[in-house]
Order: sequence, then structure tokens, then C-alpha cells
Amino acid sequence: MKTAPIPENEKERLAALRALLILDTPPEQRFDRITQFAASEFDVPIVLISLVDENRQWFKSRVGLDICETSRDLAFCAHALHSTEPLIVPNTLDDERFFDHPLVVGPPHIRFYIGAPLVLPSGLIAGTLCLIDMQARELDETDYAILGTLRDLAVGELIERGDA
Amino acid sequence: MSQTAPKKNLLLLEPDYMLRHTVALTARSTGLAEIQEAPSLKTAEEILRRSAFDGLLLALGNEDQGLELVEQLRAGQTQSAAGTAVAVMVSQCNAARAQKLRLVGVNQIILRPFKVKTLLGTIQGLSANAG
Repeated sequence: MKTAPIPENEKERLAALRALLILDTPPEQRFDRITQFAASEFDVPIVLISLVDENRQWFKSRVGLDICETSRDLAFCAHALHSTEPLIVPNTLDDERFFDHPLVVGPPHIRFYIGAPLVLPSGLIAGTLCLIDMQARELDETDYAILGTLRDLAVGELIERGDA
Repeated sequence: MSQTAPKKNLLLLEPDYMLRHTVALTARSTGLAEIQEAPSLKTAEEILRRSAFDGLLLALGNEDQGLELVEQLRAGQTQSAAGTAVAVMVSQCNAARAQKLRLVGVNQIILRPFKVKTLLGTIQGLSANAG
């Protein structure tokens, strides 16, 4: 497993994330409706709005997962902080970053991951809207466009209450 | 999915916010069409009275609420051309209902539940048929 490198703008990124005043807040329907809609639209068992904090990823909204955070070392989403384009892993077993990841070789045996970066108006990336499946899969151009729309809706909700 | 032809203007009557908004924003971002959103029949009626569209996508109620919009359209009582393409979204449809819808002038019936992707495909078809 390769741990994600820390972005060069990490200090500013964390400041922007914390300015959202959303970490460790209770679940909210305005976010949950996005993850629930994505799970149905893409037929995936796990959908997360994941915010990558200094040492953890914390889930503002989650479908198909009982835990509310993991260590940042284990976060697929930490790899998605380096580009405004989605990070797609069609098959984790074919990806040198993830083939021996504990969540790939062990439960829940993740095979597919795509994380659409939550790009704030400042250009800094707070986390991702991500889809996870236990089967390898591909997305087409329309899927990417739909995921991009749902990501934009999630960002809209994030910045509604923060100063990003 | 991007297109070079001018974008078509479509009206989408759909009460579900996530479905309606996701379809409208994705159609816009991909250059497929400009979608005017109507969350209710009343809003759709108002919009149809003042604007012309190249196609209509209408969620019908279980008692076919909304079908009167198609009748008004076909009778030339809206700003849109009477022959404008219409797709309707319904939760149930048997042969009798399908026949009724076709007689009123519905061009396409979409059965719920469906994916955003399905509706985008329909929009692509409506836009193409609109020339």
C-alpha cells in the first residue's frame, strides 16, 4: 500500500477545510440525499462525502458504511487531493497503490473506487464525493458528468455554511 | 456528449429535487440541452404560458395529473409548437394507459424507477427530434 503524499498546499487546505465549520457535525439530510441518490444512480454499495483532515478522513455523509472516520493513512480519498479531476481506480488489484491495501485484501474487499474532489471556490480540495464497489467496474462519459453534478451539489452545500 | 448544434430548450416537470436538479445540471454541463425546471404542475403551467420549448418531459400523477399540459400543447394553446415532442414519466403503465397517452399525443413513456442516465438519453432523443 502506498500512503498518499501530502499536498504542497496542505496548510492552506486544512485551514479552508476547518473554516467550513463542518467537521464532527451531525448528519444532515441535505448531504445524505446526495449520497443516497448517488448510491441508487450508480448501483454502488458505498458512497461517502469524505473530508480529509490532518490525520483522518471524516465522513459528513455515508451510505453502506458504519464508521464515521478512518485514519488518513488508509484513505483512498487522500490520493484524490492532488488534482481537480476525479481519481478513478477501476480495479484495485491492478493498481500499485492499492492492491495490498488492508481494505482490498480484507473486508470489505474494495475493488472499485472513484473520488470526485470537493473543490472549494478557493481551489483548495476539502475531500471527495466517492463511490466504492466490491466489483471492478468502468464508468462512461455520462457517468462522469452525473458524478460531477452530484459533486458540485455537495460543494454547494459545504460552502453554504462555511467561509471557503 | 458535447454537441455543436445550438442547445435545445426543454421543460422538465419533476417533483423530486435530486432527480430534477441532477438531470438539469448534467444536461447543461454536457451541452445536451437547457432544462427549465418545474417542481410542480402549477409551475409548469405558468412556464408553458410564457415560454416556448423544443421538448417536454413531464412527470404524471397516478391519475394522469399533468396530461392536461399535453392537451394544451397539442391544441396550440401554449407558446410552443403544437408538434413539440413530449415524454412522460409514470409509475405504472398498462396497455390501456399507454393507448390513452398515445392518443393525447405523448411520444415516449418512461417507467419509474429510472436512472438519470436514462432521462439524459431521452433528452438527447428529444433534442435530436427537435431538429
